[in-house]
Amino acid sequence: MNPSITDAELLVEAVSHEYEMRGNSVKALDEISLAVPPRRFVGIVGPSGCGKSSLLMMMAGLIRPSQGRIVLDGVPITDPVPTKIGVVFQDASLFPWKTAQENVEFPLELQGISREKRKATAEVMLELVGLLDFGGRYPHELSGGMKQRVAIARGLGQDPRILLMDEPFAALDEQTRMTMGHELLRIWDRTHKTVVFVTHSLTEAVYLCDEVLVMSPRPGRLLDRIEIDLPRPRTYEMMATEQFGRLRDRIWRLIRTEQTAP
Amino acid sequence: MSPLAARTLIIAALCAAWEILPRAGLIPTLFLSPLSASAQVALHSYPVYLANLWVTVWEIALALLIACGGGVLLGGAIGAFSYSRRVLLPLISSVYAVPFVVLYPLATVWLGIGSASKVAFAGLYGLIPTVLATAAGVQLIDRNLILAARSIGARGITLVVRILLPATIPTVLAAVKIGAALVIVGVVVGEMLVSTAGIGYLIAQNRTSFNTPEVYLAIVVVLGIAWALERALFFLERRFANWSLHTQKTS
Amino acid sequence: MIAAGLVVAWELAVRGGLINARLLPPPTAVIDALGNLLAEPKMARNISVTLAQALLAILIACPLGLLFGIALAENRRLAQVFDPFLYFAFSVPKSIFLPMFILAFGIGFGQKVMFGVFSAIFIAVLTTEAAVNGVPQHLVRAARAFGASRTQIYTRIYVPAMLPSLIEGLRLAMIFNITGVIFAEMYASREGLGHMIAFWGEYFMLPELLAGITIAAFLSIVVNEALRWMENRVGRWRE
Repeated sequence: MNPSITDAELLVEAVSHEYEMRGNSVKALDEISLAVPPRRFVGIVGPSGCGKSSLLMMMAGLIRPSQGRIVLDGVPITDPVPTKIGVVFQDASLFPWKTAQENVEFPLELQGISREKRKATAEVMLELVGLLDFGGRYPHELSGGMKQRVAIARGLGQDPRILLMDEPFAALDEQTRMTMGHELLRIWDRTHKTVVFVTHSLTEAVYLCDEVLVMSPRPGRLLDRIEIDLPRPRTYEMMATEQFGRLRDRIWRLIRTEQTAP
Repeated sequence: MSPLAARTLIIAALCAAWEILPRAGLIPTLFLSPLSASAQVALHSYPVYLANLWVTVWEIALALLIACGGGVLLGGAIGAFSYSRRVLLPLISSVYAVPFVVLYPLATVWLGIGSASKVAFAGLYGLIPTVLATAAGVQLIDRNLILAARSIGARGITLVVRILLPATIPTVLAAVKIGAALVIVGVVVGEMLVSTAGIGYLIAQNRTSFNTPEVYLAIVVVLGIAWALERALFFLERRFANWSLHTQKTS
Repeated sequence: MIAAGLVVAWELAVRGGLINARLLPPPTAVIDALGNLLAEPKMARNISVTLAQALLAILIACPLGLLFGIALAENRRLAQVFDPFLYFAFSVPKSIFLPMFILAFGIGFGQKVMFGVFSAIFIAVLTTEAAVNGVPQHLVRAARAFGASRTQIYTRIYVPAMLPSLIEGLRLAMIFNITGVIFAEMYASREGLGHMIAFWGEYFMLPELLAGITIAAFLSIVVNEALRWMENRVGRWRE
C-alpha cells in the first residue's frame, strides 16, 4: 500500500503504539501507514482490541504514538487541533451540566469566540442535525440517538476539515443505528468534510463509507484498503444487493483469515 | 512499600512520638502523657477500666438492638410501601440535621443518669439513619430478581425468606454499619456529659482531675471498641454477603 | 397535619393529668418559655456565640477539606495509605478527643471553633475526594479534544461537575460541625446555646429545656434545608 503523499488530508507514517498493562508492555499498533484522502468518508474496521480506537485518538492528538507520527498539513500532530479536527466519541461525552446548545457552543467558547457568534453557529449546527428545538434540554433529557446528534453538531461547530468518529453508534439499538447512519450521510452530503469513522459493524462500514481500511487483530496492522464503489446517495435498498453482500464478505474474510491464522 | 506497610509505619511512628515527645519535654505532660504512663495505669487499674468497659459495652449492645434491630425492621416496613416512603422519609431526613446531642438532657431528666438514658439516647440516635438507609435500600431490590424468582414458582413465605431476605442483606449490613457507629457515639457522648459509669465517664472524670494518663487510656479503649465493632461487621459481611462485595467491585 | 395533631394530643394529655407536667410540660408552657427566652438579650448573645463558632469552624474546615481531598484524589498512593485512616477516624466518636482540646486550648471560643473544625474535617476531605474522583474521565478527554488547556479543564470541567457533590459535602460537614460545637458547649463552657441547654437539663427547667431544643433544632434545620436547596439548584442537571 503506497500512501499518496501529495494530496492526503491526514498522513499516518509508520505508527506503532505500546502501552503498559499490569507491568507488561502490550503492543497495540504495529507500524501502520496510511493516507486519508480529502473529503472522503473513510471507515476503519477490525476485531476488538485491534487498536482502531487508539489510532483515532492519535489522529485527534489525544494520545501520542510510541513510534512514528501522524501528519496534518505537513505538521505532526502532538496535541488536539480543534480548529481543524473535530471528534465525536462513542458515548457522546456531552457535559451533563450544560444544555444541548451550550454543549455545541463549548468548543467555540474555549476558542474565545463571542457570545453572539457562538449562539448563531450553535443554532446552525443544531438545525443541521435536526435538533434546533431541543437546544435548551439537558443531556439526561435526551435519547441516545439525540445525544449523538448533539455530539456531531458539537464536533462540526468549529467547521473543521476533518471529523473523527469513534464508534459513535455503538451504544445505540439497531434501528436507531440505521436511522443515524442515514442522518450522518445527509449531514456529510451538505458539509463534505473528511470523515474517519471507526466501527466494528461491517454493514455500517460498507453502507456509509467510500473506502474501508481493514485492520488485523492485536497488534493492529493494516491488512487492506477496500474501495466501496456503491453509488451515492446510498439507500437502504442497497443493503440487500449482491454487490453489498460481496463487499461485506470480502472484509469479513480478511478479518477471519487473520484471526484463524497461526 | 505497600500501603499497609506504610500505614503500619505511620502508626508505629505515632506511638513512638506519643512516648518520646512528652518524655523529652517537647509537649507538656499535662496535655500529652507518655504511652508508658497510660500502660502503667492499665496494669494497675485494670479492674476499674474493665468494670466501666463492661457498662459501656452493655449499653452499646442494648442500644444496638434498638437502633439496628428496630431500625432495620422499621426501615424495611417504611421502605416497602411507597406512601410511607414519600411521607415519612423526607421528614426523617430533615430531622437528621438536628444536633442530636441536645436531646440528651431530656433523656437524663426522664430516665435518670444511669444506663437507661444512654441506651435510649444512643438507641434513638442510631435508629434514625438505620431506618433511612434500610428504607432507601429496600426500594432498590431489583424487580427483575423478584420476577425471576416468581417465574420458577417461589411464592409467599418462600419468596420472602429465600429471595427477598438475602437480597436485602447488603443493604441491611450497610445500614447497620452506620447505625452501629452512631450508637457508639451516642453512648460515649452520653457517658461523657452526665453519667455515673462507663468509659466516657472515666474520660470526663479524669479530665477534670487532670489525670492525663487515665484519660488517654480511656480514649484508646474507646478506639478499641470502635475498631472491634467495625471488624465484627466486616466479618459478618464477609460471611453473609460475600457475593455483594464482589458485585460492588465489578460494577 | 400529623404534627399538628400530635401537638394537640400532647397539650391535652398533660392538661388532663395523663402526663406529669414536671416531666413533660404542655406545649403552651414551652411556647411561653420560648417567647420569654427570645426576648432576653442574654439568650441572643448565647445563640450568636454558638452560630459564630460554627461559622468560623466551617470557614476553616472547608478550604482544608478541599485541599486535602483534592490532594488525595490526585495522588493514588496517598489515597491508598490514608483513606483507611480517614474512614476509621470518621466512624470513631470524635467526642472522646474533646478533653484533649480542652487541655490544650481551654474552654473558650477558640477551642470550640477548633473542635468544630476537627468534627467536620474528615467528612469534608472524604466528600471532596469522592467528588474529584467522580468526574468522569471521558468528559475530561472530550474537553481536551476540543482544545481545552489545563486551567480550562479545571475551571470548566472539574468545577461544574463537582459543584453539587461539594455542596452536599458542605451540608454534611455543617451537620457534624454544629453537633461538635454544641457538644463542646454542653460538656464544658461558660456560654453558648449548648451550655444553656445543659444548664436547663441539670436544673430540671423543662419548659426552657424544650424551648432551647426547639431553637437548636430550628436553626440546624434551616441551615440544612438552605444548603439542600442550593445543592438541588446547582445539581438540576443530575438525573
